[in-house]
Amino acid sequence: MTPASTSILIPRQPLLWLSAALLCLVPTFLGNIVVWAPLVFLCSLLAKFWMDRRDRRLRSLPLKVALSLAAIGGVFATYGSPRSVEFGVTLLVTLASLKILESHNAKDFHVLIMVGWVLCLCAFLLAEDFGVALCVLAAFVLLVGALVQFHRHSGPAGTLWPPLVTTLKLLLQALPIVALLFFFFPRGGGAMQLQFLGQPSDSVGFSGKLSPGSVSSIASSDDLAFRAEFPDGTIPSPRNLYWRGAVLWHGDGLNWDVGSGPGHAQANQRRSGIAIRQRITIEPHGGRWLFALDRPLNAPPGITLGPGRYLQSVRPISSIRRYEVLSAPEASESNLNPRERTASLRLPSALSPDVRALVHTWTATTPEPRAIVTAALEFFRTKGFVYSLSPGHYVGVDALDELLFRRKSGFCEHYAAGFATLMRVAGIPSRIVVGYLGGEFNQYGNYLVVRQSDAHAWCEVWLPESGWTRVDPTSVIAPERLYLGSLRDMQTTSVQRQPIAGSARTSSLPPGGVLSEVRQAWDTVSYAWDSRVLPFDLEGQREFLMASGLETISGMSQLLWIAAAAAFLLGAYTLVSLRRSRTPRDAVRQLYETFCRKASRVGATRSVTEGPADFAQRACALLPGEAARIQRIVSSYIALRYAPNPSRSIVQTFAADVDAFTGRST
Amino acid sequence: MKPRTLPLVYPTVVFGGLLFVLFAMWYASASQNNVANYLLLFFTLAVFLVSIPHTLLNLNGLEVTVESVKPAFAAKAVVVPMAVVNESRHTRHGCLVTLPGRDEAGELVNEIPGRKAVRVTLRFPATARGEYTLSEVQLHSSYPLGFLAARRRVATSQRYVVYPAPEGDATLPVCGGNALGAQLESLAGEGDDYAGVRAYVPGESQRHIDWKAVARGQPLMTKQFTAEVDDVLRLDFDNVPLSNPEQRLSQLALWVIEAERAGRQYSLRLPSAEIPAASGDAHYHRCLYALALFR
Repeated sequence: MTPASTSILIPRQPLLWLSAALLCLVPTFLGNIVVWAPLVFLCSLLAKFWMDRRDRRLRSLPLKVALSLAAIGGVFATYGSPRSVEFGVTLLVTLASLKILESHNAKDFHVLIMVGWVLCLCAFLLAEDFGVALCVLAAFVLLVGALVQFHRHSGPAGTLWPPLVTTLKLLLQALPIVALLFFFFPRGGGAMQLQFLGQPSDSVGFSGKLSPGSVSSIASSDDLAFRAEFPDGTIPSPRNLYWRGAVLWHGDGLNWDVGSGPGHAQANQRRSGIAIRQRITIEPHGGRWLFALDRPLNAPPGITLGPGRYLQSVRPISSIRRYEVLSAPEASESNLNPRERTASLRLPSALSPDVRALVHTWTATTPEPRAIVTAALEFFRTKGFVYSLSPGHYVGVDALDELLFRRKSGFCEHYAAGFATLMRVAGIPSRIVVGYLGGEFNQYGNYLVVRQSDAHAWCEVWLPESGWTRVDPTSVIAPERLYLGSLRDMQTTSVQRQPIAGSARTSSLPPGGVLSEVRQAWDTVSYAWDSRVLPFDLEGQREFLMASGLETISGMSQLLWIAAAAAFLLGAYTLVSLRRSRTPRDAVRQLYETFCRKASRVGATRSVTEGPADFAQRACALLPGEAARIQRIVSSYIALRYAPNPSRSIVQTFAADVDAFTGRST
Repeated sequence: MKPRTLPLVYPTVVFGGLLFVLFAMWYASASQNNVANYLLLFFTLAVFLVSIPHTLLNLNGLEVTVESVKPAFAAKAVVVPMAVVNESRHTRHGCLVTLPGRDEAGELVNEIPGRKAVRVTLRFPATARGEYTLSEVQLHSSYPLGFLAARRRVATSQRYVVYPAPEGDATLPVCGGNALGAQLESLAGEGDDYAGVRAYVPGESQRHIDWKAVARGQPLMTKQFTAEVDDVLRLDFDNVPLSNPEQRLSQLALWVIEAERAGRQYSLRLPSAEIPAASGDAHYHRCLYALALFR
């Protein structure tokens, strides 16, 4: 920084770039922090331009202090405690808004650039999906562009394109270094935790328990739950896409939860049918549940199998996670251990005589569990049950009676809870499985997208001959929710997003059409970001280094190697640029200089101001033996320099003469 | 070939800010195991690294030719015209041209297209009389990102002179301030004793041209008479009625200016040098130059 450049005002052009960059960051804050903060930010950007035209800015110190206090107070009033990411980001956004208003010189400009970078960081702390990444990328490019524009010192009528080209050139040259750093830069161990950053709060969607009525908000949520790839190419039909999330053992009427559970599942089990391999990329949700097709066979590293065969992460999932799991649709246990039996037969605290009477009508006719299940399903099909996402609340001890005998309206969770309770009353071990059903096939990326609105709940009953058997009461009440065309059909007819789960979707999108295509294409790119880039954290990098056989290199020497490679790249850039910027050499001039050098060696030194003809005259006198050659050389030189169209042959004779010139008479 | 010095690249104040941002990015990504922030960190770091060669190269191929500097009076501005020549094929941006030690005299050149030259005029206040050498011109640029700045000094060898500041009594001494002058003054009335000839200077009165000599085929000559000799203003350092030598020099400088403006003949005598009476631009500068170098 030189004294001359500290005092200059921010020219209009870089200010525009900077504002555009900050503007790009606004959408990433909307919806993540309290809504007034981005609005204040936006307003101060607009105000800055309004004031800039009139050469005004925030000057008075008391006003600045008052505004800052108001901003801090506002943030405190909104969030209460400062122990959250949102608090920090909101504070930063509001203070940045004030900084925009008062900034006017080069120093402020650079501070704003730094603030912009920190805001990029904040955007990623709040969310790291692909949309945010695009916004941050745009902001980043514009920030670099603003810096380039500022340091070009272009005049007021600065052009738009040259700085942009420079910026893109810089970014392009930076890409190899970015790749180098991305693959090899040692990741932090997470040993130091940022204390003020809390875990993301429980997001909407799946939760480890079931209390119908609280769910209808999820059903309309279009948020992503996870995406699944099938590396072996076998994709089950949509009706079999039961994604197992958690098994609920403890039920009380319509409210079920995981309970204490009967201990962990055994690892080995009898297995029949083909195993399906899935590679799942799950969105962070702050909980520990993971999903796999019904039912997972193994637990990948860092994941345990919960009681009833469901996956559970050891650590809460606070960032995007990718794992591979093998499931066998027909897998079944051979025997039910006593603890499981007790847990899966435990009756709710209160049961009405009506329910007992209903169950008795089935058990009286047959003791066969399979027949009782069929009878119960028949009951749900024929007695006028309605599938509805807004059945109202079922509360109190007689919630079950309300559902079964009076209102007869509900969705998957109501029916699963009711069915499982009825089975327990009938003496058949039963449990509820919550998870997702179905998914939307993405034809571009060949993977399945499962959204929060695909959430589903179903039952499992223990039948002596087949073990734990899936029974989905929703399928008899609202079969159209489950039975769709096969995935292959979906692939050929350009895919329509259809509600295939147990809960209807209130999608605002018209089915099919360009919009759907665009949406799928977007999701494909987004998936690439989520599945290839984001999981490349500490574990991802360790796996990569192990796969490439470089895991023995320590973090320090990793850094040294990176530094060496980066230095090499930078050296190469420098040399190439130097070569390219050099002016092409003038062959004729070079030859003439060679001649003068040779002549000088034998005593005829050309003075700087001496023209070729004068020099020749003097040199001939000094070197009479070479007079003829000197005359020839100089006349060719003059011809080459001053003749309108010197022929190529003159160059050759000139070169030959200069070459032969030794200054000694032969 | 001029001896070429490599640019010196050093971090600016803004670089501190960048370090802070990089640290924040690293800390956030390492503690959160956040890959997106790692990417942001890598992009920022890589763009900074790539800007190093750009900063270095931005001064490459720039040459400076300082043109002759007109003499200036002390306390007035020295004007240094120069040409910054870009010998490379690429445009150079945001180049600040300064003279080492005189940062206030900087001029910012927005851009110098490839194989073109840009004229730059630096001005700085002349402090004390004397003769100086401009040995170096400094080129400075923080293009493209401003985290680093490059500085290169280009050797030049241009000299300039600062005359003493003209100060004191503007009225010319009646008799050059000495007894001899007074004596000559008394003779001034007589006025037409032929004293010889000298070369004609255009603009002089044609009355005194020696036309007879012209008729003989000789060049134009002006006849000189003692009356004109009487008119000579003899400026003598020792006779200036001031005690401080610098003040005397300033007074003499003012008289030289006034005498030249009045079109009079004047001579200057310093303890170290003596300049015979004459007038005209060359004489004027010769006198002031002698005053500037006085010690």
